[in-house]
Amino acid sequence: MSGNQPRCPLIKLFWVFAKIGAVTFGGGMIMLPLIQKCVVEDKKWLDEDEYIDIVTVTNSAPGAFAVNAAVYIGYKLRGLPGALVAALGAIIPSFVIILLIAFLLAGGKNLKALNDFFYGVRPAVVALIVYAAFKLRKSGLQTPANWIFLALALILLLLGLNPILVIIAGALSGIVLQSLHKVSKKEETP
Amino acid sequence: MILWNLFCSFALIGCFAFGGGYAIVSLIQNEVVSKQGWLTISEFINIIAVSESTPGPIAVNTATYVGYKIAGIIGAATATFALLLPPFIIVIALAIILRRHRKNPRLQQAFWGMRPVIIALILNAAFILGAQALLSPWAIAAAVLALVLLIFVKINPILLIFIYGAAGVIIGLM
Repeated sequence: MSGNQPRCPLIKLFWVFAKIGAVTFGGGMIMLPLIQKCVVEDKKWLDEDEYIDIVTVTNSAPGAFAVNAAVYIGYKLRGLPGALVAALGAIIPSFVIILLIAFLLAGGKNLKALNDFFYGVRPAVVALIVYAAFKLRKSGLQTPANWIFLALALILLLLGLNPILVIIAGALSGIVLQSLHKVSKKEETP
Repeated sequence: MILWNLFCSFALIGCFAFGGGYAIVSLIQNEVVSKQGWLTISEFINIIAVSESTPGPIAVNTATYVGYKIAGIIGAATATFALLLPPFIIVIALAIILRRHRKNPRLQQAFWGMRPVIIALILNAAFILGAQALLSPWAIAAAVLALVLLIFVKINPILLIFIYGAAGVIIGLM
């Protein structure tokens, strides 16, 4: 690991992911803009390229994507203890809230206010996910070729193709295209 | 014995839980409803509704809820831990491999190709969620306003979530 990264205390790592874990209504993707804001912009623990690569890797592994991202970032920053602390931080808030709700529902309580709260949050969740994609444009969309990759991948995903297959296709086309590009460059220079 | 069964079932789900939230939910349904018979299908749908509307990854929430239903708090902890253990090990292994081969040109080319795909993956999630969440012109306007607040006003995302939640509660009271 490079020495110019500010070292982050374990307790802070826990707190950052607990805060994010407590408000990620609507599944893992919504964690992205929050993690990016905290970890990349505010704390500067990772740069943008490192961040998008972590998102790629954790999307290709099995499991809840948000927890995977916490594990990877925690590991990268502070090794195994960091991974454990970040994962616990990401999970504990929702674990407690689910237990509470399961308990209340078992007791026959009416949760109308809670439902209204979640109902109000839903449009914001959609906006947050679009925003997550928007914020990654600097790392992922620099050349026209990148935009073509994006459009093709989006079409394949909307057609219902398995995301893992689309990621693998992206990796292979990246290797092939970049290698061809290098070969043609070498031929130009005598 | 029930705890050991819970652990094995959810660890198995954790190993094959590729593809994010909803893909995992169908795996859980297969294991918990069809194979083990721990829940009826209508109980399972209720659990999904609760998991969807609470913070945290849907799969993790579902595991917590199913575990609680079957064996109380210890069941909840067992199921959640079992679900997360296999991906935890796999992600650490990937992190170690990538750290070692970070400078490998093939790997960098692969990442160059994968980055736009990840952005597409995120947009796809927004489409899927938008198709369920943005059913009225008001909801669409609210989403556009949220996006404007995020991009131009740079509002804190956590604050945004609470403002929208509070608005939902107030509208519900009217």
